[in-house]
Amino acid sequence: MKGNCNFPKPSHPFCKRISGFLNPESAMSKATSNQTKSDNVPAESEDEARRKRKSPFLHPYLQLFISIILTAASQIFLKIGVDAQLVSPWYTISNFFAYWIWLGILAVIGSLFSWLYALKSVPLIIAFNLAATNHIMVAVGSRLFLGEAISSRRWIGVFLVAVGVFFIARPAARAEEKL
Amino acid sequence: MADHSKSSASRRKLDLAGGVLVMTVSFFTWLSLLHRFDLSYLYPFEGLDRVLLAFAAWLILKEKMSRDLWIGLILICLGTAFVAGS
Repeated sequence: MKGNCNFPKPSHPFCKRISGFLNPESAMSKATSNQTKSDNVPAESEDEARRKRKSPFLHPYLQLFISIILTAASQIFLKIGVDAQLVSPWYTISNFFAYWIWLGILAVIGSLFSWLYALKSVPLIIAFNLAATNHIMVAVGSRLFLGEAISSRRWIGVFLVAVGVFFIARPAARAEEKL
Repeated sequence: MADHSKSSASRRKLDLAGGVLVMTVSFFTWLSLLHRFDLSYLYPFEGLDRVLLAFAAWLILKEKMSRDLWIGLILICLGTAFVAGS
């Protein structure tokens, strides 16, 4: 018999303690049955409970927005770090403490996680379309925070690329849905 | 059967390691490029990865190119050309 402890005898305290590990389902069902007995509230549906537990921070569209902002921010952090902190031989010790670079890497990781979280509930087509705004965000950010002069021709190019990415979103979303 | 699953698992690990390696190389390449160029000049070129990806899927995986995909690819190339000339 699997899940039963007979050592040294079933009523031994050791056996009682490990019985929860040996057959967790019965232990869990016991616990839940105790709970439902003690408070006689009608069980709410799981969906409702999940919605209640969610903080507004975890709203998928907010997470998508955060992801896009973080992607743009990471590029700006990296640019600042490269300009201000990196020294030419790459193995220079101070390079490993270039905090702008680390900030950029952290922003990339954060954006990836919020992107994955958002994709759990946002349709791919919308997510990809919004991701196309990234190119414009980076251009605006580098104008505002890095003080780069952006000629009109460069603006046109940036917008064309963004529109192109926007057009690609539908085939890309279809391709990823297949996976 | 067991042998086959084991070999495919190790293959998957190899693929993952290769992906991480390539991404690391691309990250450092990106840093060295950022050192040389403005961010607003460089970032539109990132859009070209979709063009490469689409053509690779077309040639290697024999996927069909839809009309929207063609339009998008052409727009990206045009935009990148504009940025390159700026």
